Amino acid sequence: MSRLAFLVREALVNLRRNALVVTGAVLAVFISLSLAFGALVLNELLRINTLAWQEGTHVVAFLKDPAEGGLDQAGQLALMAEIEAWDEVRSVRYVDKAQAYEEFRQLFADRPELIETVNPAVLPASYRIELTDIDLYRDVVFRLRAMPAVLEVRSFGEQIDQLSTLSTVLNFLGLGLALVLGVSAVILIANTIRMAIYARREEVSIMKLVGASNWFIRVPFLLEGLIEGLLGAGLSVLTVWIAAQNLRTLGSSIPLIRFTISDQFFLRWGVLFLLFGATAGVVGSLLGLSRYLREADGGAKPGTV
Amino acid sequence: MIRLEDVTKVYEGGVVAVRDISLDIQRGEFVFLVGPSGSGKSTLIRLMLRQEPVTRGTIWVAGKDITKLPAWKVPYLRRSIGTVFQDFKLLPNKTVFENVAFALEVLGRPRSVIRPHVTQVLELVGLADKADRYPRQLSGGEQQRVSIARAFVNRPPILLADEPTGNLDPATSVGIMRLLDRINRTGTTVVMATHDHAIVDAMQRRVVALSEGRILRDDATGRYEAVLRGAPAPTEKGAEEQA
Repeated sequence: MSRLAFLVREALVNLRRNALVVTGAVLAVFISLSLAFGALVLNELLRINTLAWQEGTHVVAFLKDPAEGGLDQAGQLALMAEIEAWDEVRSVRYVDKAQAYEEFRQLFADRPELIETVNPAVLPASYRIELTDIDLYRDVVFRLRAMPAVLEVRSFGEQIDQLSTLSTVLNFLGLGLALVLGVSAVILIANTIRMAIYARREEVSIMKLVGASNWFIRVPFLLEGLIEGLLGAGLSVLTVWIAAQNLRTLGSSIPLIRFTISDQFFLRWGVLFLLFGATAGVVGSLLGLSRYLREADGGAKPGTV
Repeated sequence: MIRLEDVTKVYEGGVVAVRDISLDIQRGEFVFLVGPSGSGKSTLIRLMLRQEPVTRGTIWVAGKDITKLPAWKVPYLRRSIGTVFQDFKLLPNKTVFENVAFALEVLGRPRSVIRPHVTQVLELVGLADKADRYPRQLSGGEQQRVSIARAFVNRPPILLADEPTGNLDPATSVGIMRLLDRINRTGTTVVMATHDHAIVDAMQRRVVALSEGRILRDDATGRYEAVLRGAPAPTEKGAEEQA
C-alpha cells in the first residue's frame, strides 16, 4: 500500500519537476487529437447535411378524378394510409384539388393571366411521398404506377442518384481524413513520450542499479504517460467542443447548411478520445521504457557462452 | 562472501576483458582491485552486479550462484549490494534525501521507517544539513557522499565501489576513504576498484592487481606496486608517476 502511494507520488513529483518535457508531450497529444477530432466533427457535419438535403418530397403521385375512373376523396385517403404503411415510405402528404389550386396560385402569383386561364377542376389531387431511403425510389415508383387510381408518377430520380453518390463520397472522405489523422496522432504521441523517456534513460539504469524491479520503474512512467495522454485528449475535446458551439452560433444565420451537432455525439466520441489519448500515453511509455529496462538488465540470459 | 571461479568475459566483438579469474573474498574484507585502464577491474564489478552476463565460469555472491539467476531475481541481488561509482549516479530530479530514500522505497519500507534511517545515514556522511538540495547543487565530494549514503542506507552485506575517488581531489578522496573504511568496520565487505596509488598504499589492505584481464598479484596487505624483486613491470600509470 505504501509502495503504491510512493509510486503515485513519484509520478506526480516527476510531472512537476519535468514541467517542460511534460508540456511538450501534452501539447503533442492535444494538437494531434484536436486535428483528428476536428476531422471527425467535420465528417459528422457532412453526414447531417447530406441527410438534410435528402429530406423532403421524393416522389409525387397524381391521382385520377372520380369522374375519370378514380377514387372519391374517402377512397384516396384510404389508399394513402395503405401507401404510408409501406416499408420504404416515411410519410405521405395528401394534397387535394383545392390545395393544388392554392399551390398553383402561389407559384404563379406574379402571372395573374396564367392563373385566370386555369380551371381549378383541371388540377389533380396528389400524394407527396417522402422515402425512408432515397435509393429505393425506383421500386416505389413502379408500384405506384401499377395502381389504377394513379394518373401519373413523377420522381426526382436522377437528382436522387447524384445526391446519393455525393453523400457517400463526402462521408468516405471525411471518415478517411479522421482515420489518417487518428493514426498519425498515435504515432506522434507514442514517439513524443518515447523521446521524453530517452532523455531519462540514465535514471532508469540508476534505478535498476539500486535494485528497483522493472514494474517499480515502469509504474510512475506509465502514470505519467497516462496523465499526459488524458490531459492532452481532454484539452482537445474541450477545444473542439467550444469551436463547434461557436460554429453553431455563427452558422445560425446561414440557411441550408446545418451546424448543430448533438451533445450525444460529443459525449460518445469525447469519451473515446480520452481513452485513445490515455492508451497512446501508456503504450508510448511502455515502448519507450522496454529498451532501457533491457539494456540496464545486462544479461537476461544467464551463463551465455 | 564473493567467490569467482574460472570467470571469463568476452564482450561482443571479441574483446576479452577477463580471463579465467578465480578469486575468493571473505566476509568483512576490504579488497582493492588495482590495475591500469582496461585491465578488467570495472568488468569484474559489473559481473558481480549482474550488469553483464559471464561468458564462462561461476560467480557466487552470499552463497548464491548469480550467473544462473533469472532476470526477475536480479533486483534482489542488487538490493544486497551497495554500489558507488566514479560518476556518482545520483537521480538528478531527486533531492539528496529522496536519492538516499529511494534505496529503501525499492524495498517497500514504510515512510515512518525510511525517514529516521535516511536522516541517520545522512548524518553519518555529514550531509544532514543538505538533505533538500539537488545533486547539481553539491560539490563532487558531497555527491559521492550522497551516493555512499544511498549504498549503505539499507545496510547491505556487500559494497562495491568502482573508482569512487576518480573524479575527486586528493583531500576529498581521503574523506571518502574514511567513510568506506568506517562502513567496512561495521562488517560490510568492501570491494573497490581504483588506480589511485596513494590511497591503496595508505590503507594497507588486501590488493588484487589485474593486468589484461588476469590476476598478477594478490597480497593480503599490499601496496599498489609490487615491492618484491622480480615482480611484474610497473603499470602504465605507475611509470608516468615515477618519471
